[in-house]
Amino acid sequence: MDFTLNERQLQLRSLIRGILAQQERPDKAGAPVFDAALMAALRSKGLYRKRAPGDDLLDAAMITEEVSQANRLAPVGLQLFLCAALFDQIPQEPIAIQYEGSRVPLRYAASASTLVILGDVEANAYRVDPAKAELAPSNYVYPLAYPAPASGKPIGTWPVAVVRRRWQLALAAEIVGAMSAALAQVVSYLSDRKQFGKRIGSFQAVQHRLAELAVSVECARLLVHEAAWRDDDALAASAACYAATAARQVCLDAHQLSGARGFTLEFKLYLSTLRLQALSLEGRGATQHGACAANEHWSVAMTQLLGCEAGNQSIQGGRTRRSEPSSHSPS
Amino acid sequence: MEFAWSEDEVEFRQTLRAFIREHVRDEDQLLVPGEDPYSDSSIEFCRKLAAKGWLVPHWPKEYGGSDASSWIFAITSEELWAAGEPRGSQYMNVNWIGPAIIAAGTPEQKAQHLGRIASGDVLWCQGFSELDAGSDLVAMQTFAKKDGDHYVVNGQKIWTSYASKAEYCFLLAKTRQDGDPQHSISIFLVPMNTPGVRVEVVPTMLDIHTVHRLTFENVRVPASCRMGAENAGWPIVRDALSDERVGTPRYARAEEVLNRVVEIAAERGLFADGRLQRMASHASAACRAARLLSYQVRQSRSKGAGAGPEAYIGRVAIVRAEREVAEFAVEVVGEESLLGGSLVDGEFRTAMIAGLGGGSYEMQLNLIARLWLRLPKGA
Repeated sequence: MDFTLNERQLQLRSLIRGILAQQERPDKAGAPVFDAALMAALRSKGLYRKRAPGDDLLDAAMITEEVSQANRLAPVGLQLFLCAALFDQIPQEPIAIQYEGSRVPLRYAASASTLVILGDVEANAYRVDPAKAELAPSNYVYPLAYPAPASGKPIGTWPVAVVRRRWQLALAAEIVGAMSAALAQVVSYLSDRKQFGKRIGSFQAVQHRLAELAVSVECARLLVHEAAWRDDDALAASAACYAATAARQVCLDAHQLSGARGFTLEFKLYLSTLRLQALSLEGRGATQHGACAANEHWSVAMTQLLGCEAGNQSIQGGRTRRSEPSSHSPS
Repeated sequence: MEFAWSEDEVEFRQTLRAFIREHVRDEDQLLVPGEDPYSDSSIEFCRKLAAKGWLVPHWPKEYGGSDASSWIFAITSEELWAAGEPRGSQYMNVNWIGPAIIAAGTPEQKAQHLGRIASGDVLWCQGFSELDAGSDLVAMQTFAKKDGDHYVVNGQKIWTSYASKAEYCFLLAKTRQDGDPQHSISIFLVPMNTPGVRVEVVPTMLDIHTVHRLTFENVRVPASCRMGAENAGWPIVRDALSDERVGTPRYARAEEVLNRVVEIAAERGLFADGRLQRMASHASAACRAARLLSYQVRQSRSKGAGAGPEAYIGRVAIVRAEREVAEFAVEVVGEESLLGGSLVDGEFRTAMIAGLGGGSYEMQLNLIARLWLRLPKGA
């Protein structure tokens, strides 16, 4: 157990921060697109290497977080968590991902030539023509589109659990970055702005709300780091459930505390908050992540007990015994 | 950064669990907190724990410890808290009273107290809060007036746990009337049988815990009981208590309760409900996050770092986790949670006090705002 970054992790962080500092954020008007220049820069620095057996995914979490915290539209999360592990060659273009049977607007689908579809048992990847995607009218920062229908033979097939957990990890890491960005911006603004002759950030009512947000962000961050390090189904779903819930809280509270200024485009808070709203819903949102986590975490209890006669045990005077050690020992 | 336990640590956890199952009475391993169930049996249990070298493993060898890593002590704290804290009040002895004496005690005080604490032989209570000095502890009025080679203590402490069984009180009192309150407090290690010390139970609605009123009426305490320099007690206490923010791993027991309530929900056919699954998973994540934040604090403290804001974040996360588990549990069993002595009744009451013991939730938020977010000082 060690919570300090090792030498390699520190180097990685400074490398990614260096790249982000060098690359200007493209601030074009019009329909949002992904930041191809940043993706190319990350690739040229070797951050897209395929992972060797035994490598952990903490690197992927760190890069995803940093890019998201910088409010950059680079679909690195899925690239790093999904592609690096599942494809021999990491596609140059973004990947779109969805549950089977959903017709929902997907991030980056208008640029994606790969569509991953999660079924009950398997996840399949298909080549799709991005030109045939249908743009979705939306103002949630990310470029959203309905992908062209998948057809033909899949180019890859994997057990659904591995794809789902990588997706959840990518989502949760991106949420942590966006939450950090939103919180930092609000804290900075409220540390300066004065009302009633005092800086707003000095009022206790405001401080407590910000402190609550900070706790949520730090909880989510550590959950993501551990889940990425362990690459574990239950922990990934659990981290995504927590992060997706916190994302909504941060989005609404960040705007409430920033007042009218927070809504202006020049203030740019929307770059993190509206992304948070979109991310909180992706992959069917916290309810789906929570159901996955419950299924993984308590699957034994559920399969053993669901067949029991309902309500046949009262907990009146319900002094119950501790569960067996395995239930909370670290895996 | 890595999240693996070493083989030794895994083995230690398993060995300790087996020991707990063997030596803690069956009825006391239950998840329902009782009325101070351990004050009488804690001595017996702690002596056994000490004999194994597991009471103060993290202390230096010269004081009865074995210089073990802070992870071994973290595992010990988790396992014992999850088993209903069979150390009773002695968790305070080993978490911060002993370490404070190691840091600031005279050789005589160390000789008198550390051996007994390390062998699990003695119960302590802490005389901190007063009616008008809770979160604002330095506003205390209890006064120790120097009188030759003694101090004469007058005042009243309140909401004191374990006082009726304790042999010593770790007492804070003012030793001067004027001047900066933070530089007016001294620490006294007071035998509870000193004439003039009166203990009364303060009835509460908690059922699961008893608190007391401690009255000091012209209590003559030898000057040799003062720990640290006169008026210099506050920094010692503040440092000792910084470990205590994450010293009670409530998340470990809360996780056990959560697992049990999920079983109950499944037994009753309720757990197919996506809303309940989400609540349970979120509560589980909250427990896990509190665990990780606590580990992070323990690691930085063990490397000699001072009391950082991470400790306050960890403590807020612990309280939230306890409350989420309680909320889920109440949601599952509904009105049955009103039945006295039931699992969920106990969890609800446990969650009610979680945000107070060890410093109020709101004080932690103040400190996070100031020290972590660096917001401007409060109005």
